[in-house]
Amino acid sequence: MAVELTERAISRIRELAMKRQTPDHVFRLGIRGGGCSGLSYYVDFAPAAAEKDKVFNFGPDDGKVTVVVDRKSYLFLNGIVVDWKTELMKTGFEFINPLAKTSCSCGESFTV
Amino acid sequence: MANIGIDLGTTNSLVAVVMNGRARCLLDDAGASMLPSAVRYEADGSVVVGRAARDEAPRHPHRTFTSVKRFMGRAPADCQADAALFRVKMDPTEARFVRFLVEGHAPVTPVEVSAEVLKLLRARAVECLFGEPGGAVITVPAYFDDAQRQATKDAARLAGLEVLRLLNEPTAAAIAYGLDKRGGGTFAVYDLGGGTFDISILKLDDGVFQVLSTAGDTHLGGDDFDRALAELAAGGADAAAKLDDGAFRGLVASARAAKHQLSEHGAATVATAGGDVKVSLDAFEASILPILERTGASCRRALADAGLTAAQVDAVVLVGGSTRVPLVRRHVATLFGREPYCDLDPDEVVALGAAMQADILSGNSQLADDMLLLDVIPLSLGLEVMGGVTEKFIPRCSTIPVNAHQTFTTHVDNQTVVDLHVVQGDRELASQNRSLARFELRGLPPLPAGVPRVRVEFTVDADGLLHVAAKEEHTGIEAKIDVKPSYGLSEEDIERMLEDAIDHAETDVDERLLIDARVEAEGILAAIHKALATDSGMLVGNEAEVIQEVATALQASMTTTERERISALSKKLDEVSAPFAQRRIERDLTLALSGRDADEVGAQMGLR
Amino acid sequence: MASHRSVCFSCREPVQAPSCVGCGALQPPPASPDPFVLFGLPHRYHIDAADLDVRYRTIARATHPDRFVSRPAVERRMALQWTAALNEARRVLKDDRTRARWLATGRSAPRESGGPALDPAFLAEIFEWRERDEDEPGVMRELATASRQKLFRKIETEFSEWEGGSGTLDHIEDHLNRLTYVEGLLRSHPEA
Repeated sequence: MAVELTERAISRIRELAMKRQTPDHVFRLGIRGGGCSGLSYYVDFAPAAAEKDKVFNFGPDDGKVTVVVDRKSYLFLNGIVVDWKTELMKTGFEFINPLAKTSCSCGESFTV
Repeated sequence: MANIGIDLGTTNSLVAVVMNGRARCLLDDAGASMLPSAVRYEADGSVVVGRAARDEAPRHPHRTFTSVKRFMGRAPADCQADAALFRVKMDPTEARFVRFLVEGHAPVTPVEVSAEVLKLLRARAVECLFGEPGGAVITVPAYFDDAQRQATKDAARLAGLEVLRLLNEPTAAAIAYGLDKRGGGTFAVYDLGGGTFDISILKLDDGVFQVLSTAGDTHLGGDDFDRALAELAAGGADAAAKLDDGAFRGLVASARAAKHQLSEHGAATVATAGGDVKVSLDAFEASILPILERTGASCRRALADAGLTAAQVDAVVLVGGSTRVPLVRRHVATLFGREPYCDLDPDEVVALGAAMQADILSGNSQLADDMLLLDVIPLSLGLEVMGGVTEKFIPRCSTIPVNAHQTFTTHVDNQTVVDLHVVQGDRELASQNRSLARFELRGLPPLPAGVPRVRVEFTVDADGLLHVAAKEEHTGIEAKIDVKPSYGLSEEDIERMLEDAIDHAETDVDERLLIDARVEAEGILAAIHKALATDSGMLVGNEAEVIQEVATALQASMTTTERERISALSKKLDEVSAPFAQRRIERDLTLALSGRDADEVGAQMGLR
Repeated sequence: MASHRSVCFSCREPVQAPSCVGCGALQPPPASPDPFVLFGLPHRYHIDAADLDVRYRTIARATHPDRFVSRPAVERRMALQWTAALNEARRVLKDDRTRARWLATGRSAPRESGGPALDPAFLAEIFEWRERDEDEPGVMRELATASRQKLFRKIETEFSEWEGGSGTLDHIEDHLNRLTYVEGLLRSHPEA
């Protein structure tokens, strides 16, 4: 298993990298624990992958999107599908996680 | 939460942020860093901001606002000329501050219009940073007075931004150019933007930036070039004045587009009502020379104030899109006897510097964190005394923050109230200066004239904003001061606007934050209850009681609208339960890492 | 740096610097308005301007409000007070006139708010300058310029003697009041 991105998510990440003027940065996907609020997904750009990161590449070489996940987070994210949704009520990255037992209504945090 | 830097410009506005030690402007969908500072109000209550609003302005002249920065913090009486120049209609029933009449819409203030521009920039930051920015450094012309700075801060607040610091634009430019990396020196920053001209003389010494002097003109810039060119094409200023508002705006827009071609091709065509008119570069340069000569006068004044000659300036920095005009560069080179710096994009340089300062203020910057900015106030602060004369108490170019006090007394026996009028400016007569505020000192003891000693203390903070406090020295009575801002908005005005915004817009900051806070609190409470139900065995000491106590308080607070209390309690619950949560996660990870693969752990955890 | 307060307002430990070494909390600026004390300088007219700048920067770095953006409100307020006091003290020390007046009178501004008191002999002299200027335009400027130089020399000499242990500062205030008047005259009669 691995980490999957939908086409919409790939083009969204590419667009954000353009707007931030950071085309060479990698897209970091991870989880963070916030006290007892469960675990929540975390996305950001980073200048480069860290040593023990899992690295996934998407898209053609000239418009490549690199996603990195740290080792601890990967335990919880293996098999995840990341999508980009633009709907009236919610615009943002959506995470479909086969490991999550319950997700909150906004889809941004989950418990295992 | 990264801090952001915002250049709230007369013509264009930008937002920038430091990412991994480098400042970058954030771009829009089309890849442009500049957001035209243009706002259109639609009849249905919606608002169009940016390029569309600017480009369609000729079709909606009475619903579109551009160059609004010129009206920020100013009194209607002082804005008549600008209102005529920019063809906007001010509400004649409002004498305290400027309010624009909008066709098919309630009147709006320059602060509200600016807030729309800032909201869009904030949204751009939220998108690119995956969350709300921490705080913002917003730049203002060095020449802005107290009321104008206050209005800028009000606009930011209305847009839901926390202002960390108002920063003078030329100072931001110097930071962007990395002049702080030099050992030291004296620099001139020549900033010719769309609507304002500033010249600042900065001194750098051992990592401390100091503004030695500033001068400028809040009514001089590229807009004047556009107008000069428009009038040239229309066949003179008189002919241009006869055009109706829509046609005039169209002509100026056409002139603006032609200006960019002029420098490159030596000639350009301006579309006028009477057909296309060809204008040569020579004619254009001749028409703008008087404007440039006015900048020269300001430069000489700034140098004189700093006690320097042009030859003592080590470097000259160009800022503002108008400095792309080749004649401007030649003019500056002649003024200072040296070629100016223009390596960075003159449109972006101020926003980049603001972002760098915002990063430094975060306290965990990778940039030079030993750097310190010391600004000066651009105009003297004084009080109107007997005879309508200005008595200066803080002279122009004083390094801020600065503190001064004056002792006053009464003119007639048994006087219990003293009127004080604070003005900003360097003219002798108070009426010729900018009126900032009128204070009433009430409750003085009834004593013979000349006996009471009222000590009034004035403090200008690091943003250049004035604060006043007063005390009668004999009795120790702290006289009550009512601040009545002569211009700009009072605290109540701002509150009212925020309330109006809540009533009218779903996107309003406060309401949205309250909803966010409640949602967050619900999530935390649900997770806590679940964790307590499954893993109460992992609790130690009095953890159970502490967690329960905070959870109960949070539950109770959620029925109120006290957003900050809800957030604070959520945070507290998160904190007090953190060790418990940490133990649960550690246990899960220990299980995961003790030989079984992730799928199995996931399945195991999913089952629990 | 001057010692100005003995106990930290926050943790009650003794302090000598602007910030408490124990808890890092910024302390209030000294209550005394003495600019020399604030910069830790002896009471002397002859000061090293470069040294003053270094002292200013050192304290400003430790006390400027920009350094306290994320600290509690009480410390932010103190940072404002500190830097305001520092800026005022530097202004007084930087200028020969205000520094001299402070040493001689303990104030940086003249006593009278309506302008300093001047002796009649001096005013008579000025009156004579004005009369001569009507016959010979420009003479007043020359006389005033010479008078300004003379006053600065007197101030300089008297302070040197005082710093050497002899002489008094009794006449300094009078020299400064005359200087204020002469310089005002020069400003209101710019070179033709």
